Order: sequence, then C-alpha cells, then structure tokens
Amino acid sequence: MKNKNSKRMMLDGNAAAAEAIKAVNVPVIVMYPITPQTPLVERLSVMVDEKEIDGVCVCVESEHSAMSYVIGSQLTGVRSVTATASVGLALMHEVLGVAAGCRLPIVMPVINRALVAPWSLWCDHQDAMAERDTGWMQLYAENAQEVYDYMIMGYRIAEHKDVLLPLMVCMDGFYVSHAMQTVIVEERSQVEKFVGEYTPCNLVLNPEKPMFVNNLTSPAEFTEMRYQQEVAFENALDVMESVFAKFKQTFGRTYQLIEAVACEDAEVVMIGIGSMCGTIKQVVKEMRKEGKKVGMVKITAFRPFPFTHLKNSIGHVKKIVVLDRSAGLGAAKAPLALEVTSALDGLNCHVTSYVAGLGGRDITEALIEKIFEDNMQEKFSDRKQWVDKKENAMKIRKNLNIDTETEHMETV
Amino acid sequence: MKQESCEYLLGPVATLAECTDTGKWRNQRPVINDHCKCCQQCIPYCPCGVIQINKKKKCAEIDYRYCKGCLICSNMCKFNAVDVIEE
Repeated sequence: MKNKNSKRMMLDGNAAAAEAIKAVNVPVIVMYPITPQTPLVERLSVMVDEKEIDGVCVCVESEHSAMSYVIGSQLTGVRSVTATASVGLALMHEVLGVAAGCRLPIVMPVINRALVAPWSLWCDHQDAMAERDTGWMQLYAENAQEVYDYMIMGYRIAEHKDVLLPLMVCMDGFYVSHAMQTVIVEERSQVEKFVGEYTPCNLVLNPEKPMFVNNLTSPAEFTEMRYQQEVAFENALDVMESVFAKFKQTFGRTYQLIEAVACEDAEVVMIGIGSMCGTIKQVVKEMRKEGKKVGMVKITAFRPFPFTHLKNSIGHVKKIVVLDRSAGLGAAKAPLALEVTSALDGLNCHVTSYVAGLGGRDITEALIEKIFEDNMQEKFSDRKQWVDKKENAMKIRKNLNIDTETEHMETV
Repeated sequence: MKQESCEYLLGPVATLAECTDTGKWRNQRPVINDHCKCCQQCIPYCPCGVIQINKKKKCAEIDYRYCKGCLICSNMCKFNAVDVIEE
C-alpha cells in the first residue's frame, strides 16, 4: 500500500461509496431508498447520526424530490449527494437535465438495476444507458475498490473549471453493490486534501449577489448553452486522465479511461463494462495459457466516450465483440456496441453486438469463452446476439386460463 | 459565503433584472370612482398586486404601469366602485 495511513476494510460496493462520501465529508445527504441502493443511504444516515459526517441527512418523498433537493443545496455552495437505482433514476430523469444544464458538479452513485417492465430487482445497465444523453458523465466501476476511488476522484473531475458537469458513478446491482471485498480506505485528511474545499464558481444562490438560475432561454441562445456542455465533455477526457495521474501519485492506484488487456496481438477482442470485466479478464488469462489470441478492453468512462483512446488501442484488431448488459431495443446494436462501432468507423474490422446478463442473469466464464470461440471461428452475424437467451423464449408463460381441449384457439 | 466570480457564466442564468411596463398590454382600464369605501377586498384579488390604499385621498389606487386590465377588481367590487373605460 502506498500510504501507511491507509487501512483495509471489508466493504461491499454500497459501503465503499458511503465510506468515500464520508471521507470527502459531503455535508448534505438526501435519501430515498430503492433496492439495491438502500444499504448505502442507511449507512450514511448512521454516519451522520454518529457525527462521523458533519452534516445533515434528509429523507424526501421521492427520487425526483431527492435530485431537486440536491440541486438546490448544491447551488448554495455546498456539496450534496443522493444515490439511486433503476426506476429511481428514471423518476429523477426530468431533473437530471437541470443539474447538467446548470453545470452543477454533483457526484451520484448509481446502482445499476433493470428498468420495469418486467419488474426486476437485479443487475442490468438499462437504467444508466437510458440517461446517457442527459449531460451527465458516467464512470463504471468493476469492483468495490473502484467505487471508492471513482467517488473520490469524481469530485475533483466534476468540480474542475473546464468541466463543471455532474457525474454518475455506476456499480452493478448486487454483483458489486452487495459483494464484499477488501477495500483500501484512505485517511480522511488525505482525501479532503485531494478533493479540496468546494468553492462554487458559476451559478450560485447568494442573496448578496443574486442570480436568476435556469430562466427561460430563447432559440437565439439555446444552441450556445448546449454547446458549452459539449466543450465541457471534450475537456472531461483530459481532466479525467490528469485526475487519474494525480490519484496514482497520491494514493498509488492506477486508473485509465479504458483498460486494454492482451490486445497487442489479439485476434478477437471483447469489450465490456462493469463487473463483467473481472470475469472477462480471467477468461482471457486462461485462454491465453492455451495459446489462444484473445484480448479484452474494459470501458471505464462511458460518458464522455473515449473514442480516440479506443481507436488507438484496438484499431488494428479485426474481430471485435462488444458485450452489453442492456438490450438497446430497436437499435441495430446495443448501446456500448453503437459507441464502439462509431469510434472504429472507417477501420477494417468486424464489430458484433452481444446482449447478455440482463435482469441479473450471471455472465459466466463459459459464456465468455463461447463468444470468443465463435468469433475465432468467424461465426459472425450482423444481428444483435442475445447469447444467453433460452431456446423457448416465446413460450415461457403458458396461459393456464385456457383449457386447450374444449376451447378452440384460432391460429392465424 | 465563499464564491469565485468569473467573467462569463455558463448555463442559463440572468444577473440583470428589469421590469417591463406590462400596463402597456391593457385594452380596458379599471378606474376607481367615489363609491370606494377602502374595504381593501380588491387588494388580495388583484393577480398583479397593483392596488393600494391612498390614506390621504381615502380610496384605492391602481398602479397603471403594471395593471394588465383583467378587470377582476371591477367584477368583484361589492360597491360598484370600479368603472371600466376603453384604453
């Protein structure tokens, strides 16, 4: 460990996020519970009660109110936080745009869970993918240590003058949020020094210097304001890299916008996001022992998307497979696959979109190995591959209300 | 309060507030006549808050810079103290 003042704690993703929020001492915590986020906010409320965090914990009536409260509070010059998942994130959708458009550097843990319907409690990226156009940055954590580290770095990235964008730190529901591991937790004074004190520099609710925040904007000015956010996203990639470098200097752990493993001479590269990357790395390691030329890329930052880094890293690879944990219904490819295809536009390579692990279904080593093998043998397809789908997908709900012997069903 | 000021603000914001004479929108004008008893009932009804009591003249007074001519005051006055004339 780099710092002698660091210590090891057994934490799951939720607890790691709470510990990071405590280390930064975020003074305003707004809570609304939702599976699988609830233990996160419960832990924060205990921290406030036991004065480990010098701040207030507020229960609100919905996630829409939670984000509204955080926005109002952040505008007064105070770091404010809430956390959510799935339909909670969907409920705050309208207000996410306010946080982004008003350039508030809010950092929010999002525990990725499927959207309804069907009603699920389990891991899926549909919730965060549905918010990819809100103007929020998105980082995806592979494990609890990354959750802790991204939360801390997140404040420095979001609050940077060239960025001033809100950030979602995404973690897989249950696979990361509820799975315990050893997390290296840093000393509070070091973390506070790393993130610095929050000094608002743009829109502020200060009675002495009054501002009308989010007033009506005409067609004569809307484009320019939206463009200001585009510039911020362009800056964000460089700012993320510089914060990653400073984090390594201070705390010793290395992070990158994309993490490429064994890609230099790879025949097939699999691109993944979230906790599945841990499994993919393990399969690559095992297959390489057998002499199979496979590699993988983990996407850390999804928004902004590091298209240049990706192109530089795997532009030479001919067979690319993208594993999405969301369906991307109605589109030719699933969300991450669309980004990858766009980044590698013009290059001579095959990008296949795979959909797996929806609604909490486990992404197994066997599944990943199968995908690699199929692509080594060039079993390509232009269609989205629902690779872990069961054979009888259309017939899993037999209608028990019909007596097929006496009632005649007309089949068209 | 600790705050850094920057020359150009980002996002939708206004730091200058100006009043527009919305009275210019009027088609009809409410005029208080000598039936006014200063009961003050019209004051909370006015959606623009432009009615005040003039204590010296002992009657209600309308600020025509901002009166939009909705005529709620004329419609509700129990003493028919508000006439309506064309602008």
